Amino acid sequence: MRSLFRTFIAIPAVLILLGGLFLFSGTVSASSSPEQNLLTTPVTERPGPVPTIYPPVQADNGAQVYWGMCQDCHGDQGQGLDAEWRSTFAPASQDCWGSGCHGEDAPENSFLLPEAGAPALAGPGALPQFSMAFELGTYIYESMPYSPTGSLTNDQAWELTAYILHLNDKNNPELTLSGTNSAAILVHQEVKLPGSELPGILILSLFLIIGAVYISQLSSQTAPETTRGNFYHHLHPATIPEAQSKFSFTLGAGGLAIFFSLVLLITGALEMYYYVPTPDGAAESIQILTSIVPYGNLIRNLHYWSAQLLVITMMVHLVRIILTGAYAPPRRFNFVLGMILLVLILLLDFTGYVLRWDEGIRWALVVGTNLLKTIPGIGEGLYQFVIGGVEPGAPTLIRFYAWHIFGLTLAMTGITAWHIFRVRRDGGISAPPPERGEKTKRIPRSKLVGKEVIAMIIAGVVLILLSVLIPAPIDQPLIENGALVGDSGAPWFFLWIQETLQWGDPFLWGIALPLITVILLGLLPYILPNAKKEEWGRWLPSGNRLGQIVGITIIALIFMLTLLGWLR
Amino acid sequence: MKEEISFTRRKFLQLSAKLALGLAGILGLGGLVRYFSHEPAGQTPSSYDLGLAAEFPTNGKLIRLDIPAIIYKTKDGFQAYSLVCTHLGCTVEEDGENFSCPCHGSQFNQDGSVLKGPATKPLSGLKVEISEDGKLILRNGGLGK
Repeated sequence: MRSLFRTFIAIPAVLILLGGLFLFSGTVSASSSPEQNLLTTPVTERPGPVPTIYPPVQADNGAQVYWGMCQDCHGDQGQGLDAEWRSTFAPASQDCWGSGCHGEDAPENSFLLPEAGAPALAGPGALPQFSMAFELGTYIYESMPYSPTGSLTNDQAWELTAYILHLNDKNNPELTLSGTNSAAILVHQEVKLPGSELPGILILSLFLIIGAVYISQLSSQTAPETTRGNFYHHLHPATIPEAQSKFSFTLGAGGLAIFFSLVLLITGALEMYYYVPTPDGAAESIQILTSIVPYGNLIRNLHYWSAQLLVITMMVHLVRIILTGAYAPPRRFNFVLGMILLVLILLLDFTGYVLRWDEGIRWALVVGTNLLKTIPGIGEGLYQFVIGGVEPGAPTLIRFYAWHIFGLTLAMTGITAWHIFRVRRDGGISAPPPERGEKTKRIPRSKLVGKEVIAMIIAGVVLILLSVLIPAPIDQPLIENGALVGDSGAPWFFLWIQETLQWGDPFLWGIALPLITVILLGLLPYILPNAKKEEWGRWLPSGNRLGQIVGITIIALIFMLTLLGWLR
Repeated sequence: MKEEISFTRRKFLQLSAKLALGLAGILGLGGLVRYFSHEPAGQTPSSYDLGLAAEFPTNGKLIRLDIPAIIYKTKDGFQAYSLVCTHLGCTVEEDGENFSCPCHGSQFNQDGSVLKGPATKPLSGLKVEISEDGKLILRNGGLGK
């Protein structure tokens, strides 16, 4: 009864928390008022750009830049350098191609105007060579103004892009164009933005929580076993020793790792419906998923955050196993399986990271694959096997895609199943042996499920909050000779290797050392003394003290190197 | 008596759990429908340059399989038809004076009208324009249109 009471306290608490979040997110967009901007549009003989509304949207800022830099040639309506626009000039400068103007004998600091003049930017048939706003923005940044070229800032280029879309009635004022969303935005067609994802998130989490809490309540009732045994019963024996289910001993890390893996499988499967695994389409399809597809951003963020949390959970799990000496026989083989899973998960994280195929991954891909080349003997062959050619390109992307969604996922699913199977095979989670003459305290299946549900709800709420508050990283699509260079760092889970790489020989420090580290950790139960049976189920048993010292030193070093790389 | 109370509570919990999970499931399904409701960008209408209009022979014809389309010049002016079969989208082939579809045997007249099924709609006409500098421009809405 008390726990039921607690439930009724917990539901409103979560509701208030999520509701507050909803309100908070709504305040930003509501504050626009039709007040005049202080920066008034400069006065011209012809009607200038639309007066800026406060707060200015991106296109309003673009109008200012346009007025200052582009209007002379492209016209006040984006009509281009046509006769009508030139007729507004002073008579002496109406022939732009004339000698002394922008033709021959152009004055110093001036420039020669091309024969074709300046093209129209608005109206039917304008901008035929661009289909995505990203192409237009990149072109403006790289090639405009005509003279001096390259004098625009990145922000100005996007503001101008928004203004040109506005001139064509294709701009969505709610959107701020940038390198990370403009590949999803079309120049010739207004893109409909999805509504807010929050109501859906809130309602879904609310019902999931209520449902889960009711189920855990329900399972605490003793019910007659009428149903036949099924897979669920296989994973949850009728009773287990109470000591095996204590959060203070297990930290719930293994169970949570499975939960995150399941979220990854589901969200990953959904992402596959939108992801286009081609060099030209990959980053664009991710931008479409992130900016336009309803709930696409949520699904991508959930996938990203479960992957990050899985790495952390996995490390916590590893530390727990080492510090409780749980890897003693008969569980030492399962420890090796766990270490293989660790490697697989890091590889899955890396391949998934590369699939973004945007400026953010450029150097990580180059460094990560070039590192393979340094392996003596097999390096060159391994490199070509991994990237599917002699340099990164379309075959690289498709191979990483195949490894990510098929090869590595299949291996991980299989070994995870084996890992779980071995837990039960080896007599469950390591626990104190029964005292002589005393019966071990056991808990029923229903209580175990209750604990699992609570852990899943907490993890689920954390996952949803992270996904709503901190978006997964995204960068502008990879472009040749990247003009706007992205991140040059390794993904965070490989920062420790990035640090060791600075110490010398890349093979020794970048491949041999991490490999030896993982193998050494995996061999701990085979080469160092193990916890004695009477010490099982306890933190810091004396039997595997040496193993604890070695293991924790290694993990602490990795942690510190990661921190060092992160602070850099 | 006590038995009966606990039975009722159990039933209530069971029902509420099923209701909450069912609602969550329906909402999740709704979300999934929304997720898949994204409409990909429509194909931008493309235009094809067919060369100078003046150089096009009278009563001549031009077949462009990249569009795919056939363009005639008659006394009344230019006429163009899409060569996409209105049945299921294969490209029709010239068959003497007419067109026949290699996939399911539909046949079309020179003016696009149906001679023989299974197609029921005539070949669609395409817009031909002459640009300012005298070029013949054909506009196409995209595949199958």
